Amino acid sequence: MRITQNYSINSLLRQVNLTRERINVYQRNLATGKRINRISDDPENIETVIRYKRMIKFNERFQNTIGSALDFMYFTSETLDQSANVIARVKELTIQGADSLNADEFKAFEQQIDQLLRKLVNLGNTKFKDRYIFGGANTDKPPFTLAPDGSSVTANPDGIDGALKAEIGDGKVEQYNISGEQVFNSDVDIFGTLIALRDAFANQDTATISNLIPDLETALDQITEANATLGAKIKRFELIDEQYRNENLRLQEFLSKTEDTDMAKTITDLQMEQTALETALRALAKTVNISLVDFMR
Amino acid sequence: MPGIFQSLDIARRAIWANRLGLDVTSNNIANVNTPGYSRQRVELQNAQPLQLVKGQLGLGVKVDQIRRVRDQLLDFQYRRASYNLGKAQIQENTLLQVETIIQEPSENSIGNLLSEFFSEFSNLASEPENTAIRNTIVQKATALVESFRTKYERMDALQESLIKEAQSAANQVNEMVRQIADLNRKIMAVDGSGGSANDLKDQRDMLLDKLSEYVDVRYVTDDKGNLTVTAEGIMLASGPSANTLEVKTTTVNGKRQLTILVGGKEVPLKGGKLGGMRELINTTIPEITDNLNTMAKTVIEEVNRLHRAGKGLPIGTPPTSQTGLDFFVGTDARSIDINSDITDNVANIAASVDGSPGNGEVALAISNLRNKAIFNARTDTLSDFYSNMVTRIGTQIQTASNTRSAQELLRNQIQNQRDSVSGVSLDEEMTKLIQYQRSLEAAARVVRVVDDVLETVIGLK
Repeated sequence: MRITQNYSINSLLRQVNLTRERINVYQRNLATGKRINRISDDPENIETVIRYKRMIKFNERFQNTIGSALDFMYFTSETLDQSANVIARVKELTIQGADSLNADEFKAFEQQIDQLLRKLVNLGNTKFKDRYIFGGANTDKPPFTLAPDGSSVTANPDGIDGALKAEIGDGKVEQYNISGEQVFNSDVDIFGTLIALRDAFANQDTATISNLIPDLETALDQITEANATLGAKIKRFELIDEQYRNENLRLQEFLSKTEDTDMAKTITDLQMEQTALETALRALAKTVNISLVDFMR
Repeated sequence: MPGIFQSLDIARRAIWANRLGLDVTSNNIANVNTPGYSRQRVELQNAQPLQLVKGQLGLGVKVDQIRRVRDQLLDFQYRRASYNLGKAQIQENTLLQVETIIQEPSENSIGNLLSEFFSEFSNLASEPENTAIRNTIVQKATALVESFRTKYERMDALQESLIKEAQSAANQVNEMVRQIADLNRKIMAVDGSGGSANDLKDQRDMLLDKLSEYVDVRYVTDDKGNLTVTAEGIMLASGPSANTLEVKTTTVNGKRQLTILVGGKEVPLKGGKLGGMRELINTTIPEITDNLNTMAKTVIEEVNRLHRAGKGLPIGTPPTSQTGLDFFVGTDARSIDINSDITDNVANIAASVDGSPGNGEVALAISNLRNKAIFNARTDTLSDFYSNMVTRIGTQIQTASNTRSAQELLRNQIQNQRDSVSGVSLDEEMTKLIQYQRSLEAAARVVRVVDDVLETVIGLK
């Protein structure tokens, strides 16, 4: 083959250019730490990258939701504990008071139970982050209203048995509240029982007082059971949260394998290309100047 | 019997031929770096011999022609690689711009913004009364609609700038075609009178090289030196006459279409920069814009359908929940926006199915649209559709990029071969220089000898 001056210069220059292009890619991959910086860097795997990122994003979302729901449930559980304590105290007083002797004693018990009734109504109207926790889905209105004369407790007419639900997995929805209906008015109407009890003390009606003791026991069970159900749900939410944490670590690892630069390999490749570039440039500098002209007188 | 001056005549011709050789050699050396220059050779022939009784007597050397060394087949291959390369280059460059518009993978990609939008609705589903979350939804939705609109506008601008580029490319093609026709006229004049217009042909070949980057040309040269250039069967230049390419844009069904015409007749160019631009403007870009529109339209319709059935938080006195409101307004990626009733009061985001503030079932249904098959006749989910679109762009870029580098390599190889055949080698020219110099000296020596002989003859008494 006939090799002319331009031929050798051009092919060396092309070589140098290609090498520089490759060096540029390696440098970018090293600088960003990512192998996939643009769609065209790897169209076969871009779908995987997008999918993993979306999965991580939604796992984080579900973790957040679970976190908020857990806060709500912890608070509910505590309120239920306090309510159970109130009922337990009422029961104690009732057992003591059933043997009362005179009107003053009856009066004192009546007042204590009235206070405890008011405390329980307040507990039933507990708010967490501005939401009535026992209001069902009607979180904006107090679920229980004590009549000014204390004669009755009425529930929010819009309903207090609605469910608050959280999405804790793709399309997986779970209720995280315990409705006021379930806590205060399922097996036994707790407020009604307390009002009847108070009125029985006011009337010094010992027979009714004794008759109401089993109802108080049912009421205590009712609240404790609700709290146990909630406790089981809290456990489950915590477990799912843990699962997401693990899954995200795994997803991050997959994602990193797909889109991150293999530093060791890229640095080696870069060094090889740099050597190639130097060699090509040296060859270019040495050979292009030589021609027959140099050897003619 | 030839006279004594015969030898002097032979020497004279030899000097003349070798001097011409020196001229051509120095011209070659001078043009060593001239682009498109083909090295030239003096073709020598022995002159018509003199018929003698005893046989033929050679009458020295004769210059047959000054020929340029060139391989027509390589030219043909070079030009074919050129129009393939021209097309792949413009496709790669344009699609790389599309890639920066799509911005995948990044926080600002539509894919990510859609995920964030739906994710926030899932958040709202668990705490529908939360105004902070409602505000975040409006924020995310704003980012989403702006992203749709910006991407649409930038695609539109890209198409517009390609149309301008196509117009200027057509102008350049017209100029080249005109120059080729002009050169045809000059070359035919020279070739017709028995010469060979080497340098003009070099120029014309170079124009043809350049022209083939723009248009997938076919051409044929006849023995009179006339070059006829056609594209898709339509004549661009023949002899001294040239035709003009015209670029027209029309709007068909709301889409810009580019038509390339010669004398009112459409030329469906397939290769070269112009062919590539035509395909990009008429097919590739509208396809991506269509996908953006379909995505925006489906999101608008599906979200609105669910949102209209839901109820917002109760506002005003007496407190009432708004219902039947659209979340988005607009019909495509260009016009998508958030309903001002929503931005004015985030309580109007309808998360609840029955109006109770703690109910988030509608918000949940909206969030779950992300996993529903709502595209392509309800066979594909949003992420299927989006991934397909992105992957397709990526594959298109890769194809264009692979074609570009393959054709570039091919063209470089052909160019190397052309350099090898037609390029000037200084070593070779130097050798020729010495060769012609020595031959010329020898011929001059012959003149001296003849002169001596003549002196001897004249000195005879």
